[in-house]
Amino acid sequence: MHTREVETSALTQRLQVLGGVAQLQEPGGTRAFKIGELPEEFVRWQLDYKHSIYDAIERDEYIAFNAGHLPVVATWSRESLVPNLANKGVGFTPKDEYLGRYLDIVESAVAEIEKLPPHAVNETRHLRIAAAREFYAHPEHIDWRRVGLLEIFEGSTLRNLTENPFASVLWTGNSPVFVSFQVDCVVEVITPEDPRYRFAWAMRRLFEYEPFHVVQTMYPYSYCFWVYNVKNKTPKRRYPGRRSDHTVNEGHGKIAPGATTPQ
Amino acid sequence: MTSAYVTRAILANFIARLDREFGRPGRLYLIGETTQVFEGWRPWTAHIEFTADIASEDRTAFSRVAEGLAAEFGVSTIEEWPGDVIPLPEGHEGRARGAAGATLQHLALYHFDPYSIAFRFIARGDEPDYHLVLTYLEHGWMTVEEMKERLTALLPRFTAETIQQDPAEFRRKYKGLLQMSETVRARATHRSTRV
Repeated sequence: MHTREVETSALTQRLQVLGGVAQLQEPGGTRAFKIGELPEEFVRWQLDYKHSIYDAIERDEYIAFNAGHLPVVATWSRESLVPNLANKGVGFTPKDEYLGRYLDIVESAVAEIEKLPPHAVNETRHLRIAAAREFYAHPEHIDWRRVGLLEIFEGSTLRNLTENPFASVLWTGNSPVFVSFQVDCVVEVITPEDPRYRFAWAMRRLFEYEPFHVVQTMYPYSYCFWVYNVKNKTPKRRYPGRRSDHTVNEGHGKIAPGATTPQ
Repeated sequence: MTSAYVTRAILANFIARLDREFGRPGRLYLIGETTQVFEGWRPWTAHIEFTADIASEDRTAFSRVAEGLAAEFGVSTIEEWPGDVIPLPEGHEGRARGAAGATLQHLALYHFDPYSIAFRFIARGDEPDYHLVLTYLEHGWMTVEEMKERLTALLPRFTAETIQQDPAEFRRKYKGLLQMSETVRARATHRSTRV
């Protein structure tokens, strides 16, 4: 086996997820992380966002920013003083038992559109959107415990995740709500033969030549981010009084001793 | 565990079965996105949301049937009287709309007053709540002018004693809604161009 293959194997096999627990093999031993589903409020926002974007693509409209798909991803090496931050395209994958079904839908659509030149986006739009919508029409088939990303540049993110397979992802929506969630993840690096990689690649390929994507052709790895912690950071008014009674008591501008701020 | 969407077909089936299996008179009011799915304005919602005017002696039976059907259909339901959250605008009873197209034997089916629903959901202020109100406006069930008029009468009745009615926060959210109504299409969650 070549050195590169040995390295890849070590990288891709050090995280195993069994029974809702991610087991991370490290030189000093195994660490366990209980993984969990993204919360309902976040899922709803994502679903609304996906349908909204597909509506816009269907009408061939300008899309100024796709906040549901392009959160900030933070990774860090063990010694770094600051994290590496980057907006990255993040999507979802089917539950394992539905992967074959949706892979077939999306890869079949890709096979169809590849019969035409890449710039024939108008001719293939209906087929591409129908395939993507079919997946997001069934939220109960989506594995909301994990998100998928494609690696392109093999830069800081890959280096950090190779050394330290953890990431935090921050999504922020629009005014006046500013939906905001931080999601902490333990990261599995996956290679092109993995069905989750194939699904992420095919979903990306459906929209590769739309104007909001910089065209890419090389994706050496995909990442499966397994969710182990979620913080709802959507801004709320802070009330100075005690919050547990759900009143708006102004507290004369002072925070009551022992006041709590329920989430 | 994320549930399946509640589509028009699932909703219609749920209502028909509720009518048949409950088998007693009463008024069923659909609320918010449930109204909008029933009317075909949006393809899905996450919950079946309603309130029911049922004789007190039938209340337990009604709840039991509704809960049983929700479990059987694999959907979640929310039963809430909007007046438990905010004071309702004058005349809300008269603004309930009959739900066309439903042939029920026992229950009378209505859509709850859209203005009451709009104010209740603006008070909550989650992102889908804004789009809910924009959708009512888009379909002509409300106008901005009437909303302003009703709110002028209603806001003094809001109390600073509960977070849900915090008048300062309500005004901020309402202003945000008006700006959205001038700028974005209902259900355009992404950052988009002016309409």
